[in-house]
Amino acid sequence: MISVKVFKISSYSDEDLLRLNDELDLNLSLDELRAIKKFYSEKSRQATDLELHTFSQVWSEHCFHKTFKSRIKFGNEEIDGIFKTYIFKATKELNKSWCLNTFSDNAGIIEFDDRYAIAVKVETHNHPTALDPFCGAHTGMGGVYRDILGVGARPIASMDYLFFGPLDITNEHVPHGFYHPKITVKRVVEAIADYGNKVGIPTVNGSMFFDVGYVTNPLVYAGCVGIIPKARYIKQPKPGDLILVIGGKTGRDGIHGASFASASLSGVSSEIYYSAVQVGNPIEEKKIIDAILRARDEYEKPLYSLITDLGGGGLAVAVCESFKDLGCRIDLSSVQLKHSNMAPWEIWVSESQERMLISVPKENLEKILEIFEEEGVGVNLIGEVEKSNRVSVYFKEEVVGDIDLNFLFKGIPLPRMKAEIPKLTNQEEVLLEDEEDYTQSLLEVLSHPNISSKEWAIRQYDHEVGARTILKPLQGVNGEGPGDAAVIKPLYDSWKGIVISNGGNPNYSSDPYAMALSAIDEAIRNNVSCGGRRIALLDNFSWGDPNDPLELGKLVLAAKGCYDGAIAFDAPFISGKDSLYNVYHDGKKSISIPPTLMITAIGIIPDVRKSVTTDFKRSGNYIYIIGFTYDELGGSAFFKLKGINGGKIPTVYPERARQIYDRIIKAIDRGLIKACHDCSEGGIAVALAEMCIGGYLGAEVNLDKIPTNLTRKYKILFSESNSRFIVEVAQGYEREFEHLMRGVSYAKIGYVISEKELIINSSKKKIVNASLQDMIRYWKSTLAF
Amino acid sequence: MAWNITIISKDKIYDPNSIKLEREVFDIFNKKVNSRYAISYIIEGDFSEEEIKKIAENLIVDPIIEDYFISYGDEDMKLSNIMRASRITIKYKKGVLNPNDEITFINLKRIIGERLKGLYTIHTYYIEGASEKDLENIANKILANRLLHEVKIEHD
Repeated sequence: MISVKVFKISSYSDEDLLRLNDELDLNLSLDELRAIKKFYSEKSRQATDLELHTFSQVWSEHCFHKTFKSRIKFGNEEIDGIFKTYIFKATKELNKSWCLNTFSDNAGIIEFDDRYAIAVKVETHNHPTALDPFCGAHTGMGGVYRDILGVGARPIASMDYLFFGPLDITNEHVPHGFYHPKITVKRVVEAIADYGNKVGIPTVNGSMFFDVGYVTNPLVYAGCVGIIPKARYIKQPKPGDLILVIGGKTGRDGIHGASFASASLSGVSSEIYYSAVQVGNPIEEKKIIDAILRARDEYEKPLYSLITDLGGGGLAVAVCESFKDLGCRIDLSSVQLKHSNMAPWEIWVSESQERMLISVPKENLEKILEIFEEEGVGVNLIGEVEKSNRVSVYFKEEVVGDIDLNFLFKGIPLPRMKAEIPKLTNQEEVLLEDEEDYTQSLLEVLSHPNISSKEWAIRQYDHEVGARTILKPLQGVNGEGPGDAAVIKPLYDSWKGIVISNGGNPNYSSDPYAMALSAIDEAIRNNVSCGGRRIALLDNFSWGDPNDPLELGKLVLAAKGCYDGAIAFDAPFISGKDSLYNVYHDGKKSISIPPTLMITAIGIIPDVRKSVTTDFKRSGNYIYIIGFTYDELGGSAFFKLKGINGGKIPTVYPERARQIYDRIIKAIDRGLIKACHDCSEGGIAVALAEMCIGGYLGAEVNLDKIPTNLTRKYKILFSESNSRFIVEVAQGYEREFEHLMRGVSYAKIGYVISEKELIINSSKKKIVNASLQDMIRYWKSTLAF
Repeated sequence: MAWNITIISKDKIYDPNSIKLEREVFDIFNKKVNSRYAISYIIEGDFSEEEIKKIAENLIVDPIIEDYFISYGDEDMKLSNIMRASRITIKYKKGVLNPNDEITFINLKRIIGERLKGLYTIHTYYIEGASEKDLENIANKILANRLLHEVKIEHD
C-alpha cells in the first residue's frame, strides 16, 4: 500500500511552515517556503510530500547554485549573480568556436579534432566524504564518470584533488564523530583506486593538500575526461519518447543527499544524515558504460534521444531538468526497488548510485532493450515525454505529484545577499637574516606534506589502463619524479593529445583575488610545461558559509580573479561547480575550511611525441630559468616551515606570462627543450630538486644569475612567484633557444651534472649542497604509510 | 536459517587485513595489538552440509592459504580455538547494499542456481592487547562507520 502525505500548505503560518520544513527535512528558507505556500494558494491545491521534496532538492544550493545566481551587494557594487557576472561572462566574451557546450549539460564539451570532441567535468563530493571517507570518495568518482557518460562520452581519464587535515594532528584535536586525517587519507585513496581500477579508467592527474581547516571537512574533487564523436552527441527528447531508468536498483541510500550537501556539519550530523551516505558499485557502472556506448554507436544514430546521470536529488532533479522545456508522465511503481516499502517520495529523491536516465524514441525501444539485456544492465520503463509543461508523477494509477515546471525553475525567490570587502591581511614584508646554508631548509620543505612525493597514493591508482596515457603522474629514470600534467592520446589513429593539469593553493586565500589568478596561472603553466595549448578551464569552489558576508566577499573576489584570469590568458571556462557550507559547528564556534579554488586546465598537444617531462635528461645540458622572481613568499611553504605569517601573496602579470608561455610552446615544438618544470610551491629550490630526483642526476646553478631585484638568498630560493619555469636545453641548442626567449626574462643559471647532488651557489659560496639520496629520502618520507 | 562459511588465513600466512589493522592502530593510537581477520559468508538456501562444503572448497576458499569452518544457523560463529581474544564483528546494516556481496551473490547464483536465496558477509577481527576503550576506538575510528555498519564488540 503506497503512502502519500498531503499538506494544506496554503493555510500554514510561518511557524507551521518551519515545523514542516524540519519534519520533512526540506532545508528550505522561510522565503522559499512562503513562495511555495503562495503558489499552492493561487492554485487552490494541497501539496504532496513528493512535491515538497522536489522543491527541496531542485532548490538546494547543490542543484540550483543559489549563491552564484543571487544578487549581491558588494561595497558600492550590485552584482547580478557571481556566475553571470564573472565566470560565464568570460566565456561569452571569449566566444571560442571550439567551445561546443559550456555550462549547460552534465559536462563541458570542447572540440578535439574535426571528428571528435572532449567532455570534461570536475565534481566535488565533500559532505559525503566527511561522513564516510571511503563511500564519499568512491561515489564521487562514480558520479563524475556518469557525468561524462551523461553527455554520451566515453570516460578515458580521471583526476582527483584532495584536501585533508594534518597527518600529525593528535587524537585529542580530532572532534568527536570525525576520523583522524590519516584514516581519511587512506580510505579516500583506497576508494579512488577501487572505483577507477575496477571500471578501467586510469587516474592520471591530481593533487593533495593538508591543512588543519580540513580536519572535519575533507574535500574530494573528482574529475573525468571523456571523448565523443561529434556526430553522436544528442540531447533532443520529443513528446512520445519513452523514459527509462537504467542501472542499479533504487533504495534509501543517498536520500536528501543534495540538501545535505548544502548544509553545515556538526558532531551529530552522523546521527541525523544516516541515509545521506551512498555506497558505490563500480562493476555495475562498468556494465552501464559498455551498454550506453553500444547504444550510442551500434546503429546509424544513437538509440536514445537524451541521456543524463541520476545524481544529486535523484529522479526529482534529473527528470525535471531533462524535460523542463517539455514535460512528462512518470510511474514510480515501475522503478525496481531494493526495499519493498519505499514511499513514492523516497523513490523520487533517492540517490542510489549507478543509475542513468534516458529517453528513447518508441521505434528504438526493442533494440536498446536488447543491448541492455546482453550487457546485464537493469532497465525500468517509467514514463513518457509529453508537451505539458509539467511533470505528472504517478504510483500505478494514483497521482502522487503534479509539478509545475515553470514555477519549479522560475519561481524560486533568490535571496539578496550582502558581501563584505575583505581586508587584505598578513601582507607585510617579512625580513629574515640570510643563513649561510639552506640545505636543511630545502630538505625540510621537500618533506612538507603539500610538496612531498605522493607516490604512495599514485601507485594504488592504475594510470595505464586503456593504453592512452603518454605522460604519467610519476616520471623519470626510476619513475619517481613528479609530473606537471598528464598527456593522453585518446585516439589510436592520431598523434594528437589532451593535456590535463590543475592549479590551486589555499595558502594564498588571505588574498582571494590573487589566489584565483595564481590558480589559473599554475594550471595553465603546468599544461604549457608539457606542450599544452588552446586551453579551456574548469572552476571548482569549495567554500564556507556564504551567509557570512566576509566569506561571500572572498568568494566574489575569487570569482573576479577568475574572470580577469580567463580573459587575460584567453582561456574560457567551460564547466564548474561549487560546494558551499563547508563549515563545522562544535556548539561554541564555527570552523570554516580555507577558501579553496581548484582550476583544471585542459589543453591540446598536436603531437604527443613532442610532450616534455620534468626530469633532467643528460649531464652537461644547460639549465635555464624563464620568468622573473619577485618578493612573494606570502603563504609559501618556506614561511609555513618557519611559522611566519606574512609576506606578499604571489600575483600574476598576465601579459608577461603569455609571452613566456608562447615562447615555451614554440621551443617545445622545435624540440629545443629536454625537460621543463614549473616553479610553484617551494619555488626554484624545490623545482630544481624535483628535476634532479626525476632524472636521478645532479645540478649546479648560480643563484646570482636568476632574474630578480631581490638580494636575500632565501627569497630567491623559495619565493613562489608565478609564471616561471626551469628548463633543460641540450648543448648546441642554446643559441636558438636564447634567440627564441628574447623579450622575456630568462637566464642560463647552470648545468645538469652527473654527480648526485644539487649545488646552488651564490657569491661564489655553496648555499645549498644536498645529496640526491637525502633529497629523495626527505621527499618520500612523509606519505610513507 | 542459513549456513555460515567462515574463512581465516592459515597460521603464519601473511594476512593483509590483520597487518593493515595493526599498522593503523599503531599509527593512530600508538598502540601495539595482535589481530587475526576472519570473513564469514552467510548463505541462505536449501543446501546439505555436503553441498556447502563443496561450495566452500570449490568456489570460495583458497585451501593453500586459508582454513574454513562451517556451521548451520549460527551467524555468530566464534573461532575460540583461533585466538583467545576480543572480537569486533562488523556487517552492513539491513538495507545497505554491499556491492561486493551483490556481485558474489549474482555470480554464485549463476553457478549454483536458483536454490541460492541470499548471501551476505560478516567481518570479524580478533584482537589481543586492547582494552575495552581501545576496542571502541578501533571499531569507531578505524574499522567501521556506524551509519552503515552494525558493530558488535566483545571484550575478552
